[in-house]
Amino acid sequence: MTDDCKYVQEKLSAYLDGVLFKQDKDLIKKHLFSCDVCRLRLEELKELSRSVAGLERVKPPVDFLRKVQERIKETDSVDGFLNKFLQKPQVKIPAVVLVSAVLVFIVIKNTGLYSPRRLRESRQSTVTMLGTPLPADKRELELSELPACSKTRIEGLKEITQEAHPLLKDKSYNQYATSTEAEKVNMDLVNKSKGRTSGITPGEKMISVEFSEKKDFLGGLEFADNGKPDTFSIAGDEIRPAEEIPLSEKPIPDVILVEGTRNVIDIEVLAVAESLAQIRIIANQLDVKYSGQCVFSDEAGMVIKLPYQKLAPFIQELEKIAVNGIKMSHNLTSEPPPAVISVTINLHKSVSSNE
Amino acid sequence: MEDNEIIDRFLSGETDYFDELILKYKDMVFNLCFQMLRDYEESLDLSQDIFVKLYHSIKDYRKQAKFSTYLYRITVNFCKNKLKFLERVRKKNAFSLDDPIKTDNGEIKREVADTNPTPREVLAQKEKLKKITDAISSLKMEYKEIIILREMENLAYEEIARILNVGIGTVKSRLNRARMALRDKLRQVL
Repeated sequence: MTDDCKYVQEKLSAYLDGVLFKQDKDLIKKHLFSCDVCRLRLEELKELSRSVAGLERVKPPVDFLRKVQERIKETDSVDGFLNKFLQKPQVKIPAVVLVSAVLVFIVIKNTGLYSPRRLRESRQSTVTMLGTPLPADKRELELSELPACSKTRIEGLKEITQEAHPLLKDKSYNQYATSTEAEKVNMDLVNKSKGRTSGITPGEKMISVEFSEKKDFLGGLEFADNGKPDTFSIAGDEIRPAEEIPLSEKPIPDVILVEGTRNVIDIEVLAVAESLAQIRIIANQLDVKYSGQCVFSDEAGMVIKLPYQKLAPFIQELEKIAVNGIKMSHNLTSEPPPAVISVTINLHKSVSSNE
Repeated sequence: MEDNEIIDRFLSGETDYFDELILKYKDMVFNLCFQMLRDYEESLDLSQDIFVKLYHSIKDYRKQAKFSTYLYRITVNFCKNKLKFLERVRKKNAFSLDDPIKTDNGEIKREVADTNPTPREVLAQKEKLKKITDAISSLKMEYKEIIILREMENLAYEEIARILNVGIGTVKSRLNRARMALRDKLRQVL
């Protein structure tokens, strides 16, 4: 490598981004004209830029705003308490008591008796697992409280799909799994001929399985074959067509989370399988985008994106399928629309066995 | 509404306006955390922490730089601290593969499960993209952050300089070194 090459290669990155002064720019241009090595290096840098820029961008879940609001509330209450405590000491605490308290705290912390993360995890693990009927007082459950996929269920589902369940036997499918770490699995079964990786449209021949341990994303199987969309639910070791499962076995109420601004609304639906199919029909009627549907033993989820103007007609259509009407935490159809919209809709779908 | 107007309204007591900031910047903050950490759950946790911190400290924002620059700087610093913390934890939990395990029946050699993905998985993970993300993750911190800010966030040199609190000359030379380091790691792939 000549001294010229060395000088040029130190500036190649800035040359690529067009941030060099004219003198350097001209010098490099001239050198590149005659030097294959540096020209190749520039091509490599260009390809590198293209490849990195093309990496997938990720988005947070739709309930991100609500989660942050909750955490702010938590810190507000803690701060308020601390401020009050620190600003107006009601009782003088002897130094020996304070030192003892600090020592006890250090011992507890170092012995692992107190761990906020562990506490949080143990709280999560106490929620009702999939397929277990929820008690009546849990009818107002929000998405965050719904059960997460357990690792064992994910492993089980993997086995079911890999062994080609009778329902899957005559389907042609390609399978892949991505797993960046043991507890996170996101799997797709995609029809080979379509070569698609996610999403499903009624009428398309496609097999899709998606699941992960993300708290608000359950999992399942959905087929759309011969123009007729079919939803199958997975319960334990069984895969059954959704319509064969009586309502009494689907105890989780339909919950719809609506978040967005006066421009675009994100709607996350967590519903029993039939409701999901009906909501999908509504989305088609209103010509709005939807994606990410998944079904488990008694739940299904999808994400819908729509402009604010379509929210009122969307809710009108929802009212037609909600057996006992809709309960909203605040009015979504107000004009002018609020700047920020965040609301939970509970469809109060009937779940008793005699209905 | 401009960011500064939203912030003024928030600081004057209309706290709902903070939601507008969250909605506007949640994708940017979360994606940047994910690109730095490559861990979905940690990124989610960290990006929420960042907004909680912002809620309590936004009064310190002096409006000398764009709000997005200010938020980028906070996010990059949070990510750096988190990576340092995770690195410490990993070191603490690490053991040498050469260390035998002592049992009542003598010592046995450690064996490690083959975690190589199956060919099918490799195919689906889009091998090339995975190699690129792995290569970026393995860069040293100052190279990784500048590659992400320039190549993924597409930020101008001036903005990167403000975020990282360095001069533009440093951005130019560091970015060149970072790109060359990444190119060396990916020579087989490109």
